[in-house]
Amino acid sequence: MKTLFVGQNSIHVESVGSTNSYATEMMRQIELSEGSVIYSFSQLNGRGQRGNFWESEPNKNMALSIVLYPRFLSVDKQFLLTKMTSLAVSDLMAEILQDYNKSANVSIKWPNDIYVNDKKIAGILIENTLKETSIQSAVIGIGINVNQKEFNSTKGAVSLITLVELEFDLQNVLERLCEFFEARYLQLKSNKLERIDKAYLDRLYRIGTWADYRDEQGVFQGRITGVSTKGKLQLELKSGELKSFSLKEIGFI
Amino acid sequence: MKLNEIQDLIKFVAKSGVSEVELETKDVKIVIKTPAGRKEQVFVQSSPVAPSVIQSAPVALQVANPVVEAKVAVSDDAKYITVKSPMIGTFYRSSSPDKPSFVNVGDEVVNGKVICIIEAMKLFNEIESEVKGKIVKVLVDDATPVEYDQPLFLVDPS
Repeated sequence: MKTLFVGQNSIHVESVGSTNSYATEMMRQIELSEGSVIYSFSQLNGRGQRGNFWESEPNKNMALSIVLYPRFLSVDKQFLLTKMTSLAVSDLMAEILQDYNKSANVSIKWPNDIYVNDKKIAGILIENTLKETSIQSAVIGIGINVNQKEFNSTKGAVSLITLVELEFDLQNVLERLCEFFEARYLQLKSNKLERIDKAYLDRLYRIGTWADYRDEQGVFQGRITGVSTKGKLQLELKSGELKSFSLKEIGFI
Repeated sequence: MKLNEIQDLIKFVAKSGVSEVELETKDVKIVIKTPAGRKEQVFVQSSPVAPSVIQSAPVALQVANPVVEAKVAVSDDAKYITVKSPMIGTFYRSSSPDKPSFVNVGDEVVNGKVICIIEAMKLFNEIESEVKGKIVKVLVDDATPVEYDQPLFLVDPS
């Protein structure tokens, strides 16, 4: 692996409920170095946001959890972890599609889903441990649809194989992801925040275009203008008013 | 990797119920396989844990105490420590809807023990206790929004 620390210590779990849960449990008992990766190609019970599950056939997809100790990051800046992880995953997707001359559009659907055109290809689940207002450790969970051809329940899921029509070497996809992840994490660590912020906005799904959204009052038209430091989605409304939304306050239509 | 670390790893894998784990670092590669059926043995071995659960029954008795102490608190609230939220977000008392609460009234907490989760923009933050004591009151309902510095728990340090 051509990285300094991400993936240098790697733990392959044959089949597991959730790599994040496994990593968290392991960290309680064993000291894992920064950049340790716990991965599986058969994650049976991948977790999305509370109660949501990630649908995956055995030996087809990649699930990994990366252990970090971002103690330099204060709690109110934690959305940077979402940004850098979303960027790393989308960097890899963009590169793979470019390798095969596929002109698909890779984007980040706020806050942290990776989309190709209008379908989800990867998901992220970040779990931190806080002590006072600093982050002690972070477990960065990433799930990518790789060699799975069909998806039942999920509305609008897509995989690398359906886009490129080629079977991928999962180990290779893992190694390349570790490289992109390390590059973005080092950007964050060296405080190149403007670069991260700009790249995230450049990739943001629907940025600058009018579309339909839903809030508690009903459906409305809006145009995404940006994302606040804390991660709120900022929209311009037809009236010219600017409004920001947290996760549960808005739905994409 | 030190020998005791490897021992810890083996113990962890055995307990976790996963059939195969492969760890690779710059210098070593370790593969731990748990043969089929072994899982049951592990369960049998871990059965001595059960009596200790029974032994911990006095905890139930201790639950009675906070009630008494709560009365005292009317005149002397200052002896309790207030655990406050380090951030804006949604307060959760368990790791997922089907899991038990991290802590309940009457539970003893120690420094470093996870007491709740606060989620903001899909980032899940496990909040560790910084104090040692007994939970006297949970001040916020599960799955409700919290503000920065909002009191979450009352802890009796005595």
